Amino acid sequence: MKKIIYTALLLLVTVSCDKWFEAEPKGGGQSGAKVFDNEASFRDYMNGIYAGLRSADLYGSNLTLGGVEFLAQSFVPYAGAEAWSKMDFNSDMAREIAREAYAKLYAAIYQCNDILGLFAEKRDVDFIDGSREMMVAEARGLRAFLHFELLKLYSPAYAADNAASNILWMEGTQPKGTQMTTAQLTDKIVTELEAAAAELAKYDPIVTGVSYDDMSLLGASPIDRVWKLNYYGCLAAEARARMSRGTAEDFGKAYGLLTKIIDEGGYAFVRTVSGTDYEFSAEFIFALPSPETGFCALSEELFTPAPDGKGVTLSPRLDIDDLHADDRRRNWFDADNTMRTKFAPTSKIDKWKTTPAIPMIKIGEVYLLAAEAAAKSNQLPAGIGQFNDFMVQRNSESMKLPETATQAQLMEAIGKQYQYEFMGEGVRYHFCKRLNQTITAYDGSQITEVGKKAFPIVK
Amino acid sequence: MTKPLQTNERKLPGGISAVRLLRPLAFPAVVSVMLSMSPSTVFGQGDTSGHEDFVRDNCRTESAAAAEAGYSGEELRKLHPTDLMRALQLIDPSICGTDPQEQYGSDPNAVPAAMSLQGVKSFAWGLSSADARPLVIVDGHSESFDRLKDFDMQRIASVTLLKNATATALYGVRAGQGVIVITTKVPENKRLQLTYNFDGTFQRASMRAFDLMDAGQKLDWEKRMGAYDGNDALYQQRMADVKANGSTDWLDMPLRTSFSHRHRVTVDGGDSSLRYRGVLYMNPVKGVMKGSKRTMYGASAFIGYTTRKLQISNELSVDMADASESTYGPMYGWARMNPYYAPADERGVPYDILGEGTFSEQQSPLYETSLNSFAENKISRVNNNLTLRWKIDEHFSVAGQFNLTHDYDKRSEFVSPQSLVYKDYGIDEIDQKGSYRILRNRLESYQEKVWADYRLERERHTLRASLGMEVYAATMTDDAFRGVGMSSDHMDYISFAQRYAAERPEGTKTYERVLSGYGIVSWSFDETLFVDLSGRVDKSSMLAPDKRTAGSYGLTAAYDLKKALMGNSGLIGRLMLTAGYGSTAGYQFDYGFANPLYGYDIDNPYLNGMGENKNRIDYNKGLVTFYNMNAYNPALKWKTTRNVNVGVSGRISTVDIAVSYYNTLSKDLLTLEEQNVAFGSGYRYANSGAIRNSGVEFSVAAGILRNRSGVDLTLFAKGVANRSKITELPGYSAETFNTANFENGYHSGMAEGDAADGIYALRSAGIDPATGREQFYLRDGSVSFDPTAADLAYQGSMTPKLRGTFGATAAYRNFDFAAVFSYSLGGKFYDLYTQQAVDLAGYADNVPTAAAGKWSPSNQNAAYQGVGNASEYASSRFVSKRNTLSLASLRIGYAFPKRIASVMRMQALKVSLTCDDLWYSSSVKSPRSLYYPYASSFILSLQATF
Repeated sequence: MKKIIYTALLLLVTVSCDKWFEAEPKGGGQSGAKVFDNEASFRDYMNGIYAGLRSADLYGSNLTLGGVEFLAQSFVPYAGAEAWSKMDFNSDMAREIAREAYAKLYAAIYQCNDILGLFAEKRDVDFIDGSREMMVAEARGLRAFLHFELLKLYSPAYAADNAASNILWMEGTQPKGTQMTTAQLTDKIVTELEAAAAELAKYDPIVTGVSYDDMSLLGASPIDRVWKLNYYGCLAAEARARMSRGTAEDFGKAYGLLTKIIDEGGYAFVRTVSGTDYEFSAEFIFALPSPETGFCALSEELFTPAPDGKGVTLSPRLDIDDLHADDRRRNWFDADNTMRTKFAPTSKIDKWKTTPAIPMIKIGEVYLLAAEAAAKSNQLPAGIGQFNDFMVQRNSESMKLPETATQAQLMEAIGKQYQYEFMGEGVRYHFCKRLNQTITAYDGSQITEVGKKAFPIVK
Repeated sequence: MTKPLQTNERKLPGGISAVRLLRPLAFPAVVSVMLSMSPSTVFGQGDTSGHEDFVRDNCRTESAAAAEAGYSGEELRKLHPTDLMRALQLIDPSICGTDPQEQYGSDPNAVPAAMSLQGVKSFAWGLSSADARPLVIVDGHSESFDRLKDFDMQRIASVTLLKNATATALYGVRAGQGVIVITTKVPENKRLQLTYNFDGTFQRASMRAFDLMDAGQKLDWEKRMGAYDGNDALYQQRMADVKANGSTDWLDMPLRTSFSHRHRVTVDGGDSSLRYRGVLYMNPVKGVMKGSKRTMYGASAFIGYTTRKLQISNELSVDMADASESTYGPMYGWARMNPYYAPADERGVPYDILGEGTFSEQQSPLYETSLNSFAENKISRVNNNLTLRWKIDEHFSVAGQFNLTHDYDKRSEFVSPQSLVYKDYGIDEIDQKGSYRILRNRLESYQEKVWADYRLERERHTLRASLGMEVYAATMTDDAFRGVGMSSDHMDYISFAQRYAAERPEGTKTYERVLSGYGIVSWSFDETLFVDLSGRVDKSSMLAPDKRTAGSYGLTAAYDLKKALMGNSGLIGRLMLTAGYGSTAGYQFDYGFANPLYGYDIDNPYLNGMGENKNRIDYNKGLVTFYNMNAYNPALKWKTTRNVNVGVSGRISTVDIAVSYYNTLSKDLLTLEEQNVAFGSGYRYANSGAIRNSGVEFSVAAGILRNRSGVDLTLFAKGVANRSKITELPGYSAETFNTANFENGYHSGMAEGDAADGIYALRSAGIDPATGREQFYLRDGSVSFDPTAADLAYQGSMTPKLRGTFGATAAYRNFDFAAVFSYSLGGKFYDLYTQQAVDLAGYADNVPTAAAGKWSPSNQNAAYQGVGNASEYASSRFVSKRNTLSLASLRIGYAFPKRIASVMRMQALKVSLTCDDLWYSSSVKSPRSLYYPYASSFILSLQATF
C-alpha cells in the first residue's frame, strides 16, 4: 500500500502537466514568451532588432556619420576628435565608442539568436505561407551580417592578419560562443549568408514580387523590403565578405553576385533632381529608417558652426570640382564647405523630425565592388566597363576610364569614387582597411597600414 | 536590456506587498528584520499537543518540536493582549534593532516588508522580495503574511517558530525563510458557554528624541551662520514675531492620545461527537497620529463532528478591516518646520506657504491636513478550511484538508486640488489638479493536502509514518488607475475626476503553483530516544524552468537523558539532548530572473514617417517594435539552506536551562556574475553566493520563591548571539552593489568575509577647517575630498552581539505580575537622521540642537559640515555602537474568585492591565522612528465567561 502511494506521488510530482507550472505573469507592459503565439509578435520582434541598430552607438551615429566617417578622413574633426580621426583607438573617446558598439552589436546578435530559437520552438504558430521561412532566413542573414560588422571593426583586415582571433561566433542564446580566427569566421559568414540568400530567393517578396500583406506598412511588400536585410542585401553582404577574403575564386563569385543585383534587382541611380531627397533613397538596397530625430539632427549638430554646433567642415583633400557639373552628388556639398544638404530634412513640418534614412548598402557600392571584383578575377575589361557604367549613371562621364586602363588605375579611380559616393556613410574606412592602404589624413599626414587598425575590445 | 540593480523597478512584482507598499522611502532600504532568534521555551513550557481529536496538520514531528521554539496563546496574550506581532517580538525578543521597520514605529497599518529568523540569509541588495518573509501556516494551511498583522489573539492556541532547516524541510520550498506555525483553539467538550473579552487601550506617543531647536535658538543659529547677512530687517522682524507669538511646537500637532476598545464574543461548546463555536469581534484601533486608524471586525464559525471512524471539521472566517493613514504625513516632515513660524492666522486658518520669498520658505504640512486629502484601505478576507480524517483501523488513517482563501484590499488615495503639490500648475493645467487613485490587490488561493498516517507500537518501539501530497495554487492580481481634474476640495470620489491621468494604468497578475509530496518517519524507543526523518519534494511555478523541482530533508533526534540514566534523581527534573541536520530549499528570485520578458518599445517605432499617409507625416507612428527586456538564466537554482543544530535543555532543582547552538549555511544564493558582452549582456544571474549564520541561544528561568506564603516568583533571562558571514560572493556583485550605494550616499554594501548586514561607509578624516567640507581616508591612507567606491570600508554588523529579554513573573493568590525588559548590545547603527538633519542641513529647515556644531568661518573646528558645501557620502562619523534597554512589557492580572464571579452570574472573570513599551533607553541619541512615532500602550483587558 505504502509503495503504491509513494509511486503515485512520485509520478504526480515528476510527470504532472508541465503547462500548469508555466504560469506566466502579466503586467507592467511586459510579457513572457507566450506572446509569441502569432505571426505579428515575430514581426514586431524583427522590427525591434532593426530599430535597435539605429541607436546612436551603432548606425545612428558612431558607426556612420558621427564616428567611423571621420576615419575616412572626410572631415576636419572637431576639438577632441582628432586622435579618433587619426585612428588612435586608445583615446577615451575611441574606447567609449568601441565598448558601446561591441555590446550593442552583440546584443543585436543575441536577439537574432533569440528569435531563431523562438521560431524553432513555436512550430505550431500559423504564418502566412512563406513568411516564417523568410523571417528565419532574414534573421540568419542578419546574424552573419552583424558578425561581419564586428569583424571589420574589431579585427585587423583579412589581408593584414587573418589569424587574429578577436571575435566570437555566437549561435544560440546560451552563454557560450566559438572563438574563431578571422579566416575561419569569414568562411562561416560566407556560408551563412549563402544559405540565407538561397532561402530568401524563394520567399522574399522583393524576388517573388508578391506581398505577404496588403498593408504595405507591415514591411512585407517588395517596396518595403529595403528596410530589412532582403535578398539583394544578403547577396551584397556576401560579396563584401568574399572580397575581404580575396581569393581569385572569391572575386569571381562576388562578381557573379554583384552582377546579379545589377541585372535583376531593378535598382536605378538618381540622375535628375528628385525633389528634396538628396540622399537618393531610391538607390538604397538595405537601409534603416531614421529614428524620430536622426541623421538630419546629427548632421546639423556636426556642421553648424560653433558655438551652436561642432563646426565640422569637409577635409581639404577632397576636390569636388573633379565631379561633372551634372553629377547629382555635387548637391551634397554646400558653399560653406560642409555637407548639410545631404541629410537635410525633406520636410519642415517639425524641425529635425525627418525621413532621411541610414543607408547600409547602396547600389553605388555594388557597382564599385563589381568593377573591382571583375578586375581581380581576370576580367579587367569587364571591370572597367562596370566602372564606366557607374560614372555614366552618375552623370560624370568625364571621369570614365579608357578601355586600356590598368588594374592599378582602375583601383585608384574606384578609391576616389569611394570618397564621394559614401560621404557621411562610414563606408570608405572599411574599403581602405580591406585593402590595407596607406591614406592621407585630413591634415596631410600619412596613416600607414590601415588594415592593421582595429577597435579595442573594452570590458 | 535591464541593468543590474534596476531589476527591482522593472520586474513583475512577486507578490501583493510589492504594490501595497506605497510609502515614499526617502531612506535606503536596509536588509531584513530579524524577527526571532529566541531560545527554547522556558517562559512556560508550551503545551501544543492538546488537540488530538481534531487533527489539522501532520507536518510536525516530536523531536523537531523539542528543538523549536513554541509558545502558548496564553503566554503570548500575557505579553500583548491584542497584537500578535508585538507579542512575538517580545517573546522571541529580537525584532528590535536594525530594521527599517523601526521607522514605522507604532503605525497600526504598517506590516514588515522583510523578516528573517536566525540571521540574515540573503544579500543586502534585495534583488527580489521572494524570500523576504517567513511562511505563515495557520492550522496546516498557509496564509498571507499581511494577515498576521490583524490576527485575532484570542483564537491562538499556540505559535511555533520554525527556524532550523530540520524543521522547515517539511514545508519545503515555500519555507526557505522559516515558518511561523499558528495553531488555533478547538472548542472543548463542555456545555454551551459564552465568553466576552474586552480590551481598552490608551496610547501615548513619545517624541522627545528629536531634540529640536526652539524659535530663539534657531534664529540665533541662522544669524550666527550668516543667513541674515545683508538682510537684518528680516531677522528683526522674525524676532519680533517670535516675541509676540512664541515658539511653535510643530511636532506636537500631528499627535494625539488615542483610546481604542475591542470587543469579542464567543459562544462555544460541544459533546463527544459535536463541537461548535461562533465568534464575533470588533477591534477599532486608533493610532497616535491623528487620523490613523485600523478598524477590524469579523466573524467565524467552527463546527466539528466525530464518530469512531470519522472526523470532520470546518471553519469559516470572514474578516474585514477599514484602515486610514494619517494625513499628517511622516514625522520628519514636522520636525523640519521652523519654530519661528506661526502655523495659522488669528482665526485659526493655517497658512499654506510660510516665509514666502525668504531663504527659509516652507510649505506647511498643517495646511495639507486642513484639506480633504486621504488614503484609506478597505480589506476583506474570507477563509474556509475543511478537514476530514478517516481512521481505517488502529494503525492506519487517511486525512485531507481543503482550504480556500480570498483576500481583497482596495486602496483609495485622494489628493485635493488645493494641495501644494499643484502649487506651480498654470491656468491651462487646471484640469490636471487633484488626483484620485484606486489600487486593488487580490489574492485567491486554493490549497489541498491529503495524507496517510500509519502508527505501530511494538513493545518498547513506536513507529509513525506519514505520506502526503499538497497542492497550492494562488493568483495575485493587482491593478491601479488614477483620475485627475477635480475642481473642488470636496470632490473626493473617483467619479468627480475629469479624465484618466496621463500615465498608463498599472496592473499585474502573478501566479504561484506548487505541487508537493512529503513523508515523515518517526521512531521512538522506550519514550527515551526519538528519531525523525522527513523529506519533501516541491515542483513550483516560482522556480526556474530548467530547475523546477526542489528537494528538502531533515533528520532530527532527541534523547531523554534523565529518563535513560538518572530516573531517580530528585535534583534533575528533566534533561534532554537534541540534534538535527537538514536542508531546506527556498525561493529567492522572481519570474524575470529565470524567464524571458518582452516589452513593446512605444517610443521607438520602426518605419516611422515612412507610411503612405497622404495628409501628414507622423513621425511618432510606425511599426510596433518588440524587444527582449532582461538577461535571464533559465537554470537558476533555488536557495539551499543547510543547518546543523544541537541543544540541551533541562531542569535542575527549580531552575530551567536551555542552550542551543546552530550553524546554517545558505548557499546557491542569487548573485550577479560578469560575463563576456558577446553573450548578449555583460552580466548574468548565477547561484554563486553563500552566507553562514551561526549562533547560540540560551534561556534561564529560576523559580526563586515557590508558594512561600502564597507567592511564586520566577526570574528569567533569554538571549541570542548570532554571527553572519558572507562566505562566497563574486567580486562583480559586490562591486556593482557597492558602487551604486556609494554614488547614492547609502551606507549598505557587501563583501566576502563581512557580515551579511554590514554597514559600509567612508573613513572620515574630519571636517576640513578651511572649507567646512568633510575629508576621507582613501584606501592608500591618503586624505581626499573625492573618494571612490573602492574607499568604502566595512564598519561592522547591524546585528547586536547579544540581544534578548529578562525579567520576572510572579503570582500571589489571585494576582499575577510580569515585567519584561528587552536589551540589545553591540549592534552597529548608522545615524541617518543626524546626517540628513544636521550634517547636510541648510538654513531652510529647522535643525536639532546639535547643529550648533556645524562648521562656519567662525567655528572651524566643527563636528558637522558647513552649509552648502557638504559632501553627501556615507561617513564613518555617523556609525556607532548601539546598546538599548527597554521596559517592554509590564503586567498585572487578577482572577476573581469563583464565588464573586458567580454573584455576578459568571463562571469566571479575569482582569489585567498590560503596559507596553513604557520606557526606552539607547546609547544613540537619535529619534527611533522618523515616519510614525512609537507609542506607550496601556491595555486594560477583561474576560468574562458566562
